[in-house]
Amino acid sequence: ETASRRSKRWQAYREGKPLPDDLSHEQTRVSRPDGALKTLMRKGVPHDLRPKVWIAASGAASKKLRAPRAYYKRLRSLPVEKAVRDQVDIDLIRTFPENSRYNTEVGREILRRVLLAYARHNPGTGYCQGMNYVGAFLWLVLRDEEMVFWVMVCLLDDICQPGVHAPDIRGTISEYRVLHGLLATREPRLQRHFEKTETDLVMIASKWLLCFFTESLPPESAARVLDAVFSEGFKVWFRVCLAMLKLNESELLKCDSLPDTMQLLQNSF
Amino acid sequence: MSYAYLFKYIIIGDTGVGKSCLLLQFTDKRFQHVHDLTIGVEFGSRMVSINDRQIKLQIWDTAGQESFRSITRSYYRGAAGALLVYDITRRETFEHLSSWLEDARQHANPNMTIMLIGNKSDVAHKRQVSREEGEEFAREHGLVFLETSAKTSDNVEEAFINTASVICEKIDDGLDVSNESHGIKVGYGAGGTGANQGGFVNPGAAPRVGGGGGAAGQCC
Repeated sequence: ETASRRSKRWQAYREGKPLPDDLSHEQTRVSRPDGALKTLMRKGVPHDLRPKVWIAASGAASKKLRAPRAYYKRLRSLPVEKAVRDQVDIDLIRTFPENSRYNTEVGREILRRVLLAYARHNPGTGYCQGMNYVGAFLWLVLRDEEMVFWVMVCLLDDICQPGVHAPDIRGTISEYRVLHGLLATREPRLQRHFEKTETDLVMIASKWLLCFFTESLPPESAARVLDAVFSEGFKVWFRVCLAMLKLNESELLKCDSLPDTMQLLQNSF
Repeated sequence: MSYAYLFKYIIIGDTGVGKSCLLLQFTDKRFQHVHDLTIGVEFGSRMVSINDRQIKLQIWDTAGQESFRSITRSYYRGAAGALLVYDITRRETFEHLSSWLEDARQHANPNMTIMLIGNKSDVAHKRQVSREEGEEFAREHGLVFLETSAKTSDNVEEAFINTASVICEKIDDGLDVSNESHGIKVGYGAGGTGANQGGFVNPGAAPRVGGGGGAAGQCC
């Protein structure tokens, strides 16, 4: 029922104004879809429109247009470190192992090409575990190999803070520091409790960022997070983290050890 | 359930050597042929009995990819035991042992017991590291050594339990269990000092009146 109401809202919007191919404003990278479209995306993009909307809102469409001709295909001729190749090979089958839509020979082959292409495109980052889940999830939604690559490039290079998947994940470590800082002002009780119990969220929940929730939340919820991320930017990630912690606040305050906290957070979603 | 001691363990080693499968086999007695890869860290626990003493093992299973080293390092703090795992069918995982050991020596407390594990002993036809080489490395670096198979469960119990036995021996030899950095917590069942500190008290169990003193010193 919610889905049909959602579809109707989107239909009404599109009758007034056809969806452009590019919803992002890449020059500034700050302003993104606003007004009615922002509200619509916050409330969730219908399944059938999601590929088109993600490709437009993430900036993937215009990025592809501005790139050298046949960039994705031509990346293949570039070398890639053996260590990266070996790591990707080990991880393909260990990505969503129970998902029969991704985890087939064809699905794994596509993910291999996308991840290696990204490693060639951004050799400073290469491949970091977590990107495999992001790539597989994007493929499950978009069903278009080359666009998976471009959306991933936009998400990791432009939308994400820098260094999240760097070889020492320094970006991830600093974003969790920021998260604890936000907690101190937004949920001071919780932050004080974390300090008292020496709970550092990067130690127990780094996958929230490295996988962008695709591995922690039910698929539709993870897709809703990305709907909002593509429309509003990286700040959405902090909001989702704060919400997840706030929802569990009373239980979290009862946890006095890292294992308890970790198990609570894993079992809640 | 009450326990005499809680030991904190950490499982380390290269990516894909079977760290998570060893943990799953030990805690759940099952093997998953295809397992989710570990992002950051996972956690498991189980009770074991060493010479009639209940010991709770709290086990941190870490990500093997190099990128995660900085996070992994923070888990060494306060670990009583480490399982350092390589894959007998992938030579490079054996060759990286020194760098893991260096990390452990640098970030763990010097009393941490390290068990060297050559995993995947069931895949004998693809073996690239001989048992003798494993033994030799262990002898050279003062580690306990076992070859295991997380798939068939061969030696998996032993890997975790023998490590606990070694830690128990250290306690009997006078290792300070009240020093938190040693990765040991005294539980209710031991009746030692610190029994009601650290939030590990089981409210259902009756307190052992006057059971302190000697009990904590005789683990095994």
